[in-house]
Amino acid sequence: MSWSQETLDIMTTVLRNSMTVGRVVAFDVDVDAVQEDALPQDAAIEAVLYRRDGADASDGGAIAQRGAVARIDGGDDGRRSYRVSFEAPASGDYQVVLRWPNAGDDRGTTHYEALALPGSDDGLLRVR
Amino acid sequence: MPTTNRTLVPFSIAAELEANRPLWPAALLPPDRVEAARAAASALPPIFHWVILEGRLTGADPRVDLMACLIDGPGVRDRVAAALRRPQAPLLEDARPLLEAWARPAAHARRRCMERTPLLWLEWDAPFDRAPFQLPFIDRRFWGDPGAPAAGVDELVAMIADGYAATFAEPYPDVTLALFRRVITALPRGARALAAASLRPRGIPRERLFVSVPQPLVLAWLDAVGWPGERAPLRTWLPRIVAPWEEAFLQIELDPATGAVTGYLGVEPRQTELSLVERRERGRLFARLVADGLADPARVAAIEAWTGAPSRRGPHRVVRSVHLKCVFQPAAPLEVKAYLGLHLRERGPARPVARLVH
Repeated sequence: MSWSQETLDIMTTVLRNSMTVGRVVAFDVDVDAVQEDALPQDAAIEAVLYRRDGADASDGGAIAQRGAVARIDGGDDGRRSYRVSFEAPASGDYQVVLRWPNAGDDRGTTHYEALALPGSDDGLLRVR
Repeated sequence: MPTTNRTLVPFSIAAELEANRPLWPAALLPPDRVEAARAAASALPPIFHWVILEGRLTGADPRVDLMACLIDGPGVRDRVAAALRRPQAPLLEDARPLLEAWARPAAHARRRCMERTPLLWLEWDAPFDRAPFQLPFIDRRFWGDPGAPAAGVDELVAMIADGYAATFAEPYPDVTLALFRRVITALPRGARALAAASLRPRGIPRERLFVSVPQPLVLAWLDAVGWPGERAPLRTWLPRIVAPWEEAFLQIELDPATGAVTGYLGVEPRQTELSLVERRERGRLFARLVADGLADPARVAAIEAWTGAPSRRGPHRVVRSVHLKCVFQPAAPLEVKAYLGLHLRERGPARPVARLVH
């Protein structure tokens, strides 16, 4: 995946968590191994936007969009870095969630992390 | 054994209730009720890892119940066994059969079940004059060994059967086990059966099952098991209680006399150490409860005050916890219980699972 200057500018905006207009919203995330858990496979990590304002949220918080997750460094056994990107969604407030399968669990359970984006007091991604 | 369990510190419940006396919020937990719980716990040995005081966010019931748990870890079962070599207060004696089986599983007929039980919760209802509700967990991966193979339905039902037999020294009737099997088998992909226990100590001839289910799949599972409760209030409140990306922690009750699921349903969001996102989602629920006249702002503020209290004291890190249970029952308004608790951990850096790069 290539990253244009436009994209990087937008990424910076998102990290400030202010108004965003553009083709892509993106940010970098470190995924750490906690305790003795194994890190997930790169391809198993899913990024999802959930709408948290308006009718969609009151109706259960429908999934607004699935994003792309790309590894951006070699990492090690304890940490990897990823760039998470979404096609710019409609104006609104969104919760960003990373999810991956729990290792070795054939029941299909997943681990999830609801990310608090910096720059706001509630951690939501605000797109205007 | 996960690292999280290694850092837990056993403590005296009465001592911690006393040490935190100024912090237990009176608007939710009346001081005389907290004192009654402390007095009842004063004879318990210092073997527990988590204490919770249960109050009511809704309604007018001032009761404060007491809960404590044992979490498996290095030396934990030996400490429990050592405590049980001495006569204990009635609060603990009433749970002696289960505790002895868990502390010394190799000497017990229910060995496999007890070896694989990662934690036990005991709940004493005020006025603390009857046996506790005794809750052995059956999912080894939950607070136990995250790398353990996931148990199949047969093993889960066997653990439920053994937990009951260890507690009451008699077997579950086949009809009860068949009921457990039916509802567990119906769990959707991504769900887990966590714990099961009988309400017998409360004089109620029903069984309670604790499960976690991805929030979007809750209603389908309740349909599949024949939960007879009203759907409309649940459809309204479920997304307010549990965010759509989370697991809902559910409690259902089984009635062996009818062979059916009862109308009781407890819904809990993830028990939390309160990340920013979790605080925001909980705040949304509180706002709705207050707006609908179900909770008063003083009791909501009491919960906020508890989690906002200083987290460090002495040689250990004090971790304050809050979780909520929203109870749906036939012909009754939504009831919300608040569980304010604490546990102690050895000091050390906490590592996040995922964090944004600034």
